[in-house]
This record gives sequence, C-alpha cells and structure tokens, in this order.
Amino acid sequence: MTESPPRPTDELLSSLYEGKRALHAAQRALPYSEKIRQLLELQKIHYEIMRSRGVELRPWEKPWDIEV
Amino acid sequence: MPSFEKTLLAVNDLKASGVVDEYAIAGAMALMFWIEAITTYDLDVLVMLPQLDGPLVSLDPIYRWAAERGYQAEHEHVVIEGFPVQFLPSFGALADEAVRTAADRQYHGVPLRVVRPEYLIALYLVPSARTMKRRERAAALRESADIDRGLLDDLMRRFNLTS
Repeated sequence: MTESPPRPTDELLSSLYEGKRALHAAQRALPYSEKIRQLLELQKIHYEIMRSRGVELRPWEKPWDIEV
Repeated sequence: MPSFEKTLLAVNDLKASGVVDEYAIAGAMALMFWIEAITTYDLDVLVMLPQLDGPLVSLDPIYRWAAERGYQAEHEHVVIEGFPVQFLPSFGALADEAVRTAADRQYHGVPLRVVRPEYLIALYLVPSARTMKRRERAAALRESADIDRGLLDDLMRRFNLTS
C-alpha cells in the first residue's frame, strides 16, 4: 500500500481561501477605468486563444483599439 | 482615438435627441460595475423606445440616428466611437423595471445609467435567454456583488424565475 502524500492543514487551506477572497474583493473594488484596462488585456488573451484553437469569431469579436 | 467616454456621450445623446425615452447599460459591461472585469467584446444597451401607434418595435430610428452621425451598423451592432454597441429594446416588465431603476454612475465625468445587480441576475435567468454563460454570470454576481437579497427574492418571485 502506498503512503498518502502530505496534506495541507485546515488552517493553511483557510488561509489560502481567505487570500483568494481578499484578492477578488480588491479586484471588485478597482475603479471602472482600471477594469476596462484589464478587459483590454483579457480581450487580447482570449482572442489569441480562440484564434490558435481555430474558433471562428464573429466579426465584432476582436480586441478594442481604444483610449482608456 | 476611440474611447468609452465618447461612446457614453453618444448614448446619452441618443436619449437627449428623443430617439429613446430611457436607456441603461446591461450585460458584461454593466456587470463590471458590480464585480470583477470579465471578457466581452460589445456594449449592451437596454432601451425604452418612445410609444408609437402600432405594437411593433423598430430599431430604425436608432439606425437613422447612427447614420446621421457617421456610425456604421455592422451585423447586429452599431459601432460607436470604436465600440460595437447592441441596442436591445426592453422586452417586457422585468426589463422595463431594470431600465427605470438603473443606477446613476459616472465614467470620467460622463453620466451613465447601469442596470443594478439584482436586475442583471434576473435578466440572466429569464428562461428564453438562459445559457450556461449567463447562469455563470448570475452566480458570480450573487456570490460577489453587494446584493439586496430582498429585492432579488422579490424579482425571482414576481417574474417566476428559478436559479
């Protein structure tokens, strides 16, 4: 029988989840203009992934060339 | 250079010109006012059209307004200052309420109206428009946004919506 790998403690897991919650809360609280900056980056990443997978995007589904 | 402010100014002009009675930003761009940034490529604008004689809805006045200002229609969108904008006529009592009760916000000094998170959730859960993506967005709003649970429960009950 193989020995099971070491497991994180409940305290460590709680701390990791708390860190994740705090990160999301901070992201939610960002100014809208910062979220638009993030969106522009997300669009570039998403667009490249879709193109590399050969997914046919609709004509308007392309990263925005805008000033933030 | 195109910018979101210029797009918002144009949408406000749509109302000031009387082409629409009222509007509110909906969809993913509205969602970003309440939770984290998510990927989208267009701006959804819910509009209340002026009362006409007949029962049929036409977006022709919006397309005329756009053409007069040099904005091109591309498929189901109008490209306004670099943004593909989809105008969605309010399709019923829930959407009417969502537009009427929209939150007033500002972006770089430009006023705009945004559908509140409880109404976004309800709109995402309308059976005829339900997709996996929309259900996920409703769930994200429920978990993350500062939601008025009483209002959401009331909307779910009055409009016969299920999670």
